[in-house]
This record gives sequence, structure tokens and C-alpha cells, in this order.
Amino acid sequence: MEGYRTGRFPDGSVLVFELLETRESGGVTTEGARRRVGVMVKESKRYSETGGWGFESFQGDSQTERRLTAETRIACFTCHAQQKDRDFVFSEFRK
Amino acid sequence: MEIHGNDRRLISLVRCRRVIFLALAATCIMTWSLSLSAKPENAVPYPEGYRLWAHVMSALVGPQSPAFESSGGIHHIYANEKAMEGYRIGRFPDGSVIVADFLETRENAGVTTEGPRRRIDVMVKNSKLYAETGGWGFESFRGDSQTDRMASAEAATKCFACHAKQKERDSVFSAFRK
Repeated sequence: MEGYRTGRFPDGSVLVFELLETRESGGVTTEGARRRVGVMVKESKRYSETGGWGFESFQGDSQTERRLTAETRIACFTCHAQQKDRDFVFSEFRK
Repeated sequence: MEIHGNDRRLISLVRCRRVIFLALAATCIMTWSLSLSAKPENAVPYPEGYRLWAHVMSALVGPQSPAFESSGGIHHIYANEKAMEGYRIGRFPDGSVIVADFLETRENAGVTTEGPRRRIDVMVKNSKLYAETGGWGFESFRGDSQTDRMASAEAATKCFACHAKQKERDSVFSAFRK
């Protein structure tokens, strides 16, 4: 949250992107099963080659089934690199 | 004669002052009583900082829904710590606060994003204060305002009329999505 405020995310920052299926009934869309959980962890030394961020994606509700390979991890960063001036983060905190 | 005239002027000045004083006093009393009716003792407080509370669940109310006109858009529900206990055990302790955040939507190339806030609906648990409505106080705040209250006393009763259906879940509709 400090990162969203100041624009620089300190080590130990964790961002989670939760992707859910949708269910529709009578014009109302509600949350369905979890598809995956995307995680970004800031640790400047350990992940120095990818802007200080470590990337992972967990399948469904699993805490162990990791979806990313060394290759796809680089793909995460290649896209996030566009956001260099915002410390590689796309999202903003909606007030 | 001249003295007499001065006396009269003095008397009318005193009267005039008395009228001004009474008018001011009346204004004060009216303002005070109005402020009482605008924010009575049982008014639901604005839920300061709720955006950092636990996220309970979200939903999207679309144009096909009968609720679209009043509540169309993205809904996010937030709960404070006490309310989280309520979601776990099924009885919400006093001090529980639940907030439903209603946002407009923006659409661009198949992606729906959040627009301006329409209103927030707040439920506050205080069994004594709100004994007549299941222990819950209800309020709505318009847009981003912390003072523009939309739910009159009557509306609050209407809120409860519907929430009462959920009696076995302590009048709460939402469930915490894990």
C-alpha cells in the first residue's frame, strides 16, 4: 500500500491478482471458481534482473501448483517493464 | 416635548433590540433542533477507511437486472474485523460494519473497469441502538460524500424489511468468498 502511495514499492511488497470465473443469473454477474492467483513479490536483490519483482502464478485454489516457467516469468516482466516509471506496476489504488 | 421624543426613541430602540434578540434566539433553537433531526444519536457513522478492510465479495449488476436502475454497476463488499468474525460464526457482534461500494462501470474493448462511485450502503451492528431492525443500523452515502445521507428513517426500515429474510444469517445477504 505504501508503494501505491509513494510510487516506489519497498522490499516485502506483495501484490496479488485474483482471476475468477463468472456466473450469470438474471442480469447479475457473480463470482465463480478461482482460475488462478498471480503474485508479484518485491525483493530488489533476489529479483534484480526483473525490476526487483518476483513473478508467480498459482493454479485455481492450489498453493503448490505453480504455473510459471523461467521463460514465462520473463514474459511477465517484458510486459510489466512498460510501467518502469511506476515501479513496474499496472494497477492503481482506487479510492 | 424634546425629552419626551428622546424617551420614545429609547423605548423603540429597546423594543427593537428585544425583537432582534428573540429572533436570534429563535434561529439558534431552530438550527439546533434541525441539526438534531439531521443527525440523531442513532445516526450510522461514515465508515472511515473501509477501503482497507477485508474484501468480502464482488458482483456486477447489468442492464438485464431489475435492480439496474437503482444499483447497476460493480458492487464490492467490505467488512471490518468484527464483521469478519460474523461471517465466520454466523452471528455478527456489536461493532460489526459492512460496506457495499457501488461503482459505475466503463467499458473498453471488452474490459469493464470501475467508474465513479454511485453510493455506499452501510450496515452497523448495535443491538441496543437498533433493536427494532435486527440490531442493524442502515445508511447510504451518496457518491464520495461522507455527509450526504440517502436513507431516511423510513428507508432504513425498508432496508430491514428485505434483510429480515436472512434472519438465520443475522440479516446479512453476502457470504465471504474464500
